[in-house]
Amino acid sequence: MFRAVSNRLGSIATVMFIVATVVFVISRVIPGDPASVVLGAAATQDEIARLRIDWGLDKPLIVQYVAFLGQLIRLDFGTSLFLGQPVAAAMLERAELTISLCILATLISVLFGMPLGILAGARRDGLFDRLGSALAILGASLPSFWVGLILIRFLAVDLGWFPVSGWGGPEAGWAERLHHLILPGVVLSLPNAVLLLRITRTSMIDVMSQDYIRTARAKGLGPSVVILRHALRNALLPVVTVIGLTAALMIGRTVVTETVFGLPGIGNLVVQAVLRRDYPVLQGVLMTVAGLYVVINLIVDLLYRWIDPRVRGSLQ
Amino acid sequence: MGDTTVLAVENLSVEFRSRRRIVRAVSDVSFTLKAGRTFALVGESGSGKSVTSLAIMRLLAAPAGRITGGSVTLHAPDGPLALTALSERAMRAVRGRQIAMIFQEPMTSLNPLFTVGDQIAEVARHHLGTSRAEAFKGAVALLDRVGIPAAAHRAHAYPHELSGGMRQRAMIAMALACKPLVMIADEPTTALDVTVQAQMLELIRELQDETGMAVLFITHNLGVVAEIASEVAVMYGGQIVERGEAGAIFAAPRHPYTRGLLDSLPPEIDSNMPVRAPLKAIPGSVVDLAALPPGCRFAPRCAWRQPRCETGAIALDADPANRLVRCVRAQEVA
Ligand SMILES: Nc1ncnc2c1ncn2[C@@H]1O[C@H](COP(=O)(O)OP(=O)(O)OP(=O)(O)O)[C@@H](O)[C@H]1O
Ligand SMILES: [Mg+2]
Repeated sequence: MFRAVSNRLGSIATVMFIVATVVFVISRVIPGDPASVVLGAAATQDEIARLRIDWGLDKPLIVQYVAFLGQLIRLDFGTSLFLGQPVAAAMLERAELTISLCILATLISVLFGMPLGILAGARRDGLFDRLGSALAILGASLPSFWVGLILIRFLAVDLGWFPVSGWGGPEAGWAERLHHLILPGVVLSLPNAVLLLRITRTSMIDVMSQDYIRTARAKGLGPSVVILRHALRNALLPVVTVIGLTAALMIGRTVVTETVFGLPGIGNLVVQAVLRRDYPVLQGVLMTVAGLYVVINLIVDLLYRWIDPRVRGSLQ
Repeated sequence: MGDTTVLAVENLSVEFRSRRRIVRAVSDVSFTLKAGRTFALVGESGSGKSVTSLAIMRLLAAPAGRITGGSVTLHAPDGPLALTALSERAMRAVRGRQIAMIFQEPMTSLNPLFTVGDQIAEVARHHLGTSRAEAFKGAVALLDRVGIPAAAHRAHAYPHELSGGMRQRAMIAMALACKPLVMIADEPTTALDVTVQAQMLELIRELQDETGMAVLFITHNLGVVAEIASEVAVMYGGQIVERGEAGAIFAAPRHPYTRGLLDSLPPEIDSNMPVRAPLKAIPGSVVDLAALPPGCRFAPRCAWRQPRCETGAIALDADPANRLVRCVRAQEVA
């Protein structure tokens, strides 16, 4: 286990370096200038130039790049140009919401996508397969923001079952927070649940046609043992990867969900940062997301090793 | 126990239906398995051997595959059981316990995520309610019995950690777990190299002597048949075309297809066997099971063909020596 982790640290460092470079380049090719944004249309060229010097934006790109890398090594993302606080603090303030939202959405997608996928794949063209396909088509063709607005309209405004927006005041307890996060969680989980359903189904169908399933049936085992003990664990391998990747990619999709539901999370921070060209915040968020992505990949890898003895063996 | 019938297959027919066509994979197949004896089913690829064995186990891919006629009867110690009429639940009590099966690909036939010990132990736990620890001990003993060295250690190995031959031994151990009356072996040696093949045949023979189980041995390798079987049925296009005592059939095949198979056998496989002209492949290709001719299914490829072969179905007739042949010119072929 330790060996598996340490084996990967080298490659993780390389990946993060490449990501940092890409992030830097992307944040600088977005057209626009933060100094003119902050000073407004009435600012003179002089004022703008002075602010750019304060922020170090007058220096050659390569110098800025090296400074950026130097900060990253110290795990320092710098200070926001607009919020008047360090980027790390700004992210931390909003991380609880976004992380809770992503975990909730991942749980919802796993809870709905996987069982339905297993049932659909175990009995191809059966009742659950038809139901699953119908839901998958529906889920894949509806845009999240639209589903979000519909849910708000009916469940929150008309029926009053859920709050319309926000996630409670600063003193709100976890139950109240959860209540606020259910609708956005459902919306955020939709595409993932659909993807998970389809991957689980395909994987189950593939596994059910394997020789060892025929062996299990030839042993006299009943369908539930064949499916749950012999098929499911094998079918889980690609599913685990997809859960990990979609969980990581979800952070990107919180931008829309947080906007629709008026949630002050990381997604919201990104929107503001892009609109105002807040480079340090943009870079900080992108680097953190990339870091999370790498960490989740590592976790998926370790899960693989735990599930599949063939992978376990190959690294020893 | 010499001539006790353990399993009787009578007029078994199997079809696969899809929207577009009906594949008649097995037509009117009959044979009996006797305790302590090996019965071989031979024939080219696609002749219906595996489908016959899966039909006996009632493991055909539902809903496409269906037994459309005939019966399979297991003569268990406490009375005969009509397998074709059993409920799925009752059939499950037969699979793995009374009739066990081993397959061609020992790599893919074992679940990659469980140790071989667990997979063998699972059979006794399921059928006999043996405790986990007890069943695992049983598995070790079985692995030892099928000739796996350091069995106690190897029981903890995963399939990918074993060689092909060892995996097949593990499959055999799994089949033996409940001391079945019948073992069906579907090309158990085809995926193994020649020396391992010979060991495997030897092992099956030994175990059979010891347990008195009947073996249904499926193969397309006639050399293997000569070594292991007392009786043979040759299948072509889902039908048995010739059936009888193994030695007699090798000495004097009566059906042109059997004769073609023997002629296409490379001489080095078994030097005791009477080999005519070496390596003459049968011309033409296998009959389409979705578009069977009205007459003899082998006729289009047959050197002995006559007009009457192609008009109506040919019966499987017995000769005085109890050999069954599905050919109007059987006496001339011999
Ligand atoms: N699930 C299925 N659906 C449709 N047709 C099938 C199915 N399984 C088998 N068949 C057909 O049944 C016929 C007999 O197949 P079978 O597997 O019994 O051949 P075999 O004699 O075992 O050949 P081999 O030596 O290749 O194993 C084949 O023509 C095959 O196409
Ligand atoms: Mg076969």
